[in-house]
Amino acid sequence: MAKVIARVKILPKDIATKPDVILNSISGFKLIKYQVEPIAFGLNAIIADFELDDAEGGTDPLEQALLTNKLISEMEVIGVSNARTKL
Amino acid sequence: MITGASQADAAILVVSAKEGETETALSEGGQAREHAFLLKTLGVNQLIVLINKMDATQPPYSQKRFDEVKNMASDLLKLVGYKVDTLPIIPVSGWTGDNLSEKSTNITWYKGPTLLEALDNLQVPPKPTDKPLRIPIQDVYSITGVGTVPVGRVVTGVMKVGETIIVMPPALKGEVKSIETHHTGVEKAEPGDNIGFNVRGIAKQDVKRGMVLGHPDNPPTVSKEFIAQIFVVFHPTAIAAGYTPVLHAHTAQIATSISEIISKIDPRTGQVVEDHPKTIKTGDAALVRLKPPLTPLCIETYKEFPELGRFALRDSGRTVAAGIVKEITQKA
Ligand SMILES: Nc1nc2c(ncn2[C@@H]2O[C@H](COP(=O)(O)OP(=O)(O)O)[C@@H](O)[C@H]2O)c(=O)[nH]1
Ligand SMILES: [Mg+2]
Repeated sequence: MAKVIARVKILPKDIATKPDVILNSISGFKLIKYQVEPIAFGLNAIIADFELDDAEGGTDPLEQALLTNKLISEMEVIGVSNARTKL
Repeated sequence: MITGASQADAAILVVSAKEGETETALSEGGQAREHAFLLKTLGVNQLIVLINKMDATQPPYSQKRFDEVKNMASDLLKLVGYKVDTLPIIPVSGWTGDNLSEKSTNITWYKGPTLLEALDNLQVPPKPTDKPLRIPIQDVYSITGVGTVPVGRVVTGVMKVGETIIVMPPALKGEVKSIETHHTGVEKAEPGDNIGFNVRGIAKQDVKRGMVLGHPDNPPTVSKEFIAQIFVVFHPTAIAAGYTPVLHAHTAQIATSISEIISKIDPRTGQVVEDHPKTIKTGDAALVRLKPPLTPLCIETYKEFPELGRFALRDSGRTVAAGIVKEITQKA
């Protein structure tokens, strides 16, 4: 099946949790790359690209996995693209 | 595509030039056709049209086929309500890269811009700095040594350190003690800035994602009921009054109910095609009355705040419809 890349913005529950700890706790989705976006007062957002099947339901399984992750407070999908395209 | 479209200033509509694919995409129920109507409904007026797969026409890079597809796409876009003469319509191949970043050597008959040039020609909308302040809350933290820190992106207006702000719907007032972006203190925040800010007078547990912050003299509108113009992108059967999808607007996600289907309309002109239809289906545009049944919602009319007046309706992981707020009929 064709692959797509979903770019998500993740906000941690605890500002002290390191981005790689959060990313390591996400299973079942292939992380392609990520960037830390510094926000304020020590809080960083994570901008991460995950590879998904170009399937019915779109980004829903990923969104569900992130929203139910205990280390994650909020998330939003900021872009979806063909896997061969550089976001 | 659709949640993104509800924030977009511009869009690229991709139509395949491959025999058969064009016809499917542009005909009744076709994806390009629906996306075009959707973009029009959401007020996305800057459009670039790509006629893709030019490498796969018969013969490859056929000007005749391009003209055919261009005419079909133009007819559709005219029907949707776009001023076609002003839109770049570009023959490309995503496969071979023709006319994407560099002028194609295979498509010598085409004299217009490449995709990259067309992107550079898009107009950046002016920053809505002189509008009333609106910051949809993304999240809230309680940070040791700092205090309550809401996080969000400024959509309109300017927020300055020292000002009194109000968070809606709960109507809580607080004072902005400091603002940071990229971990750097700033005196004011403007549209587009991703910020965290420390407010005194508001506790973390009282502020949630989906609430909107503004100034007390012009607070964000809280609505219990509003009328919207929607375009149905996908529904397996038909939508009747009483349907309860999830509404996504700015950072809010809230259960909502279509309490009345007021009329089926022509998406180009807004003219009524049918009064109070029993149902609406995929491809239909309609005026509907929406009611968040549990909690009121911060939402604005599209006319006043285009950035906050667009929304998507989702159900079981799919976007069912997207639309704009025409009128707030019941304020909270
Ligand atoms: N020949 C050719 N095939 C293309 C081109 N662009 C995309 N495709 C193929 O078309 C198929 C469908 O593409 P996809 O991006 O999924 O289209 P969409 O999902 O309808 O937007 C894929 O197999 C692509 O590799 C092109 O420029 N030329
Ligand atoms: Mg596809």
